[in-house]
Amino acid sequence: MTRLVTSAPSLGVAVPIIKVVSDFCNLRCRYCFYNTRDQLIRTVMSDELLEKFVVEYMELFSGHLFFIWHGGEPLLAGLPFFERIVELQREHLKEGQAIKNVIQTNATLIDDEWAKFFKTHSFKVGVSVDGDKESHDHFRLNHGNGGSFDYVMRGIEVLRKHGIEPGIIQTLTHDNTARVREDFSFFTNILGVKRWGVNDFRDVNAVNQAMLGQSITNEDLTSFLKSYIDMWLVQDDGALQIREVENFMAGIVGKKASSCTFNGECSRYFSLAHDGKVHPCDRHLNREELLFGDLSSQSLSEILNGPARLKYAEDVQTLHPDCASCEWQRACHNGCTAHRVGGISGKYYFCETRKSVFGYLKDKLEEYKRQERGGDRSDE
Amino acid sequence: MNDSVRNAGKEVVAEKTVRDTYHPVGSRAIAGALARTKYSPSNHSDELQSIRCPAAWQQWGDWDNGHADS
Repeated sequence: MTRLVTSAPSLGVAVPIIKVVSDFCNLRCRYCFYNTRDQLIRTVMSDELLEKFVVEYMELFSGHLFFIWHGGEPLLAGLPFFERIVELQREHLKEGQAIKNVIQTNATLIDDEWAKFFKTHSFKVGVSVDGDKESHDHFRLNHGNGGSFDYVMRGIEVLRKHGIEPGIIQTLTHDNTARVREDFSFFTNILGVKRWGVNDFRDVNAVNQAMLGQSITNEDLTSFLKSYIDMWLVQDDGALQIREVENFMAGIVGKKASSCTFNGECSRYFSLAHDGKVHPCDRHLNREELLFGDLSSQSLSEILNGPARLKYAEDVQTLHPDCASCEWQRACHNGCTAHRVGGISGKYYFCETRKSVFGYLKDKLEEYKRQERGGDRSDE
Repeated sequence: MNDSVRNAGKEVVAEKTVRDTYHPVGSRAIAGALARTKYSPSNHSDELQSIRCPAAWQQWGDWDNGHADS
């Protein structure tokens, strides 16, 4: 019988997602989960709060330390802000620590100066691209309702000129599921991407009126992921990594997936807003009941060891009863907490998709193993 | 060397070439994905993923930022 995971493992090194400019952004992507919030006000994290955070975080943890810089559009904080980050990190680096800075950007503001900075300080850069121009410009718009695709491509070109190969995040909406082949082909054959991940748009409470009817359903996602798997197989490039496929594959062979929504380690992350508010993730920013604390008035240690975070970690690990009999329990961990129906203790909305895709890819893997065995025999 | 011997040799070379380059569709993709899982701890382990593992850290650090859904 499948055992329910009921106790939270050690939380390990906590990974911060830092919203340096609140929701402020130079684009107006229709599906953005900040779309219904005020994206016009430039509210950059104060130097005082930034320093407090960096100092306390680096005091608390050792080993590999991640800093994930997010927004809004984080580049709107300005280059001096990021130079200050690097200065603080250098100043407070202790023996046994290694730092990795990661930034998720829309890439429209990247110029030579930014690219040189990222290269010099080994920043990993993630860029949001939804597919080819038609797919991307469907929802990733600027203030004037114009598409942002050409600006993003220019940004990627600048990054590549400086030897930076960005990772790509594709956001999936209902409309774009119809363009699965065009977008896969664009990423692999035109943009020449070797690694990308897919986020799906789902607006549970229909808060975003501009996106009614665009939430991804189980049917949409199942079909999309199976198509991606088929195309990934046909492409047959050993270096081509689609995050979702990698996550499913890891689970099938009994390994931990890399993503928090598969591996049950969601509670390792925390989101720090520009004003000091700490939540489990930026997907939970609107949920006051999940507020871990406020760095402007508390220490980071107090917040991360506080009852709200410990309760969240426990809730994340307590699986839905339906998971007990599921063969994919340890590969899925009931998905993303933000997409559990009825709250953290609810069932993952995309449970059916997960089961179906795990089964589909498992069949492909078994077919591959059969062929491998057959190949061995013919060579004997 | 007469023609039949020469041609026979070519046939053998051609057959060998075909056999050496034969891969079922998807085999490279799957082999690559399987190879990348070797750095990950077991699903049944309480060991945490990624950050303790330099290979995984390098591999995913740029975009696996906690926003995966699918």
